[in-house]
Amino acid sequence: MTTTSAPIKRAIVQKLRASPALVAAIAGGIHEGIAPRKIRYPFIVYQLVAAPYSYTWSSVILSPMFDVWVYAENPVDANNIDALINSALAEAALGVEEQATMLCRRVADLPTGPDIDSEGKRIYQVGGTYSIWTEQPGS
Amino acid sequence: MTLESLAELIFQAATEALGTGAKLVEAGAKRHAPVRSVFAGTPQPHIEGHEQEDEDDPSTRYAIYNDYMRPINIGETMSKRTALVKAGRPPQWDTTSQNEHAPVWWRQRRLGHLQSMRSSGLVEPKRNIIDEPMKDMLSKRGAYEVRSMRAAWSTWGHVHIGGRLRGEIYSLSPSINGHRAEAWVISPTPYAKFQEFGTRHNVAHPFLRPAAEESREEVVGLIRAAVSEAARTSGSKAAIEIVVRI
Repeated sequence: MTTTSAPIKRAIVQKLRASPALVAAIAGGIHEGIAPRKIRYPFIVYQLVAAPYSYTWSSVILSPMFDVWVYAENPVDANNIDALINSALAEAALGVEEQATMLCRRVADLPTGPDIDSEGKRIYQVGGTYSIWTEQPGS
Repeated sequence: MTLESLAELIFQAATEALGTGAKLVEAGAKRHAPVRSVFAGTPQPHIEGHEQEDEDDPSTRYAIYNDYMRPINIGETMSKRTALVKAGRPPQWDTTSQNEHAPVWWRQRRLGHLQSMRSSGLVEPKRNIIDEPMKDMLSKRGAYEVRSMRAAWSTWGHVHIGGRLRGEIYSLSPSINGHRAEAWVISPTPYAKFQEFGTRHNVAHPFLRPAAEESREEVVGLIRAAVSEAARTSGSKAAIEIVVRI
């Protein structure tokens, strides 16, 4: 039975949490999709963009793409944490359940401008897209 | 045939196939694009999977546009819009008991208007929207968006209600720059990037990148087939190694 991209999400979060410098830098934690309204900055948000499956004769290759964003109150924090995320995930050997990681790399920076949050604070959103390829035995 | 002319022929075929591939991506992006439902009876929130959506029916959109929007100029100021809306309200609007809920007469007026338009041949619904009114009634949110003009957008003089993001996805014809061909699928809607990437307040609903990823194999296949066909029909016996990157 083919497993989905859910174990890959878990593996990404585990990999981010395994970096002490990163954990110390993010006061607001790691969230999927969107962070709660009242939460401390900075924090990380990740989101699955697409996860196409490729079936070969003997295996299934998942090639999901994830956006990983940092939201911070100043651009320096945002860029520093983004660099920490990149160093944690670039060419990382993710421990994905029932899948072998073939590739994990950043494929794009995501350009966005500063935003104003619900409390009127200026916040900075910096991030990148990560492409991950995993392989698992086909059914 | 010289090698240069053969290469030119193959490149031209590949470029045409790239244009076809861009249209595939455009269709995929339109399928993925989130559309806020303005009609009652459709699921909320509406992210993807538009099977139950009635906004695809252009006659419904035009009917609602004619019902609500015709007296109002998009360039008017908000106060003038309000005045025009008030001027157009029917006498049964009880101004002493205005509340946040949509008045019942909106539905009656809209259905009556649709009925008259259909009987006069101005509107030809794809299905019987008069007998199935619920799915074609504006939701409370939809009514607000129609009245406040937020749901209205226009292309080449045609005004539509809702579905702006999906309606403004275009594939451009392939452009050739030296030995490189590019085909772009664009979404020029101002808030498209907020949907694609998300914001502090809104979760991302990616629609362009998933479409590109899903179509990748198909586009490569199209280009590969076009190149093979061009090489075959040119009468060349040259062995060609083709590498396609998208």
